[in-house]
Amino acid sequence: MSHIATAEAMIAAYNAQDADLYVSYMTDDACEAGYRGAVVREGKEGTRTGLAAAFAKWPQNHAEIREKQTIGNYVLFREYVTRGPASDGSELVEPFEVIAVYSFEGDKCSRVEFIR
Amino acid sequence: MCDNRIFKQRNVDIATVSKEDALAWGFSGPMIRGSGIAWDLRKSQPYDAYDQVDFEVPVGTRGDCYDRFMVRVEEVRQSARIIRQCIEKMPAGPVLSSDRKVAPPKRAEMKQDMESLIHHFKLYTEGFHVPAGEVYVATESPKGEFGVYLVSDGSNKPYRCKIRPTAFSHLQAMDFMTKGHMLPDITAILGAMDIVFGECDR
Repeated sequence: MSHIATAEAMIAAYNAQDADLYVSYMTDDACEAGYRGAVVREGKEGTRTGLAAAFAKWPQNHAEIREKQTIGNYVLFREYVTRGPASDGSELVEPFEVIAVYSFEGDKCSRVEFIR
Repeated sequence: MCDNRIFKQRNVDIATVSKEDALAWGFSGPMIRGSGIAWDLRKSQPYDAYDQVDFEVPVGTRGDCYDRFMVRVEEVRQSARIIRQCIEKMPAGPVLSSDRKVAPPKRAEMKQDMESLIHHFKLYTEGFHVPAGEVYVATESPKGEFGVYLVSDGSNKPYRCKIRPTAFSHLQAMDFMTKGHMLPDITAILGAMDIVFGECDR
């Protein structure tokens, strides 16, 4: 499976709100972070629980891949994210674009970084 | 070929255009210079480094297909002259901006540097935001005045873009230029116009 196919499978799992499947494509010590910023979700388990909480909050959450590029051990996606109504009644989040950088070690994703 | 008897028979006195008609039809480039008017944006409104190089603007005397052809031949020589001067005067240093917001990084850099990779991705998927405003820029292309009118609303996509191609004003004179000639003369007339049909109506 190519890196880009793996990253696409991660997005498919993300849209299916399947956190277990999503983290199955990651290394054990993988994390999600802002680019050059704070780690948002640490480790496979941290990512799984973080995503599960996000999916519970935004049941209609969806990411669309608008542009993609791969080079070496990196895959870049320009994603268009729509959160939809929040289940806890919090304010509606406007749709937004984000650049996601997927770094790979072997055939697993070791880091996902976001640039808003 | 310039002195070839058959070539001259097929081009001399074919589709003669006077100075007045060349102006009236909106000709530019070798089409207007072939009619004896030394109009060249590189001389009248110099841009880039054209005011720093010496070159001649060749003109025709009869305004026929042969003159238009000969103007183009001489312009090849003048272009080579310009290129030689540019090479002599070219300062040392990079030829591409190092501002990664507007110029892509080298591929080798992208493989080693995450910043370069992201700059490349952003540049090619998003481009860059142009300040709001409008501009018309005309250049002297090999076929004549090539202009771009651009309106920006401050976003990364043009609000309006109108391209002034060289071929449109020349091709519209086809009926005028072919009157009184034989069908086989069309080849010479069109060839001396140097039309690219794909650019006519953009």
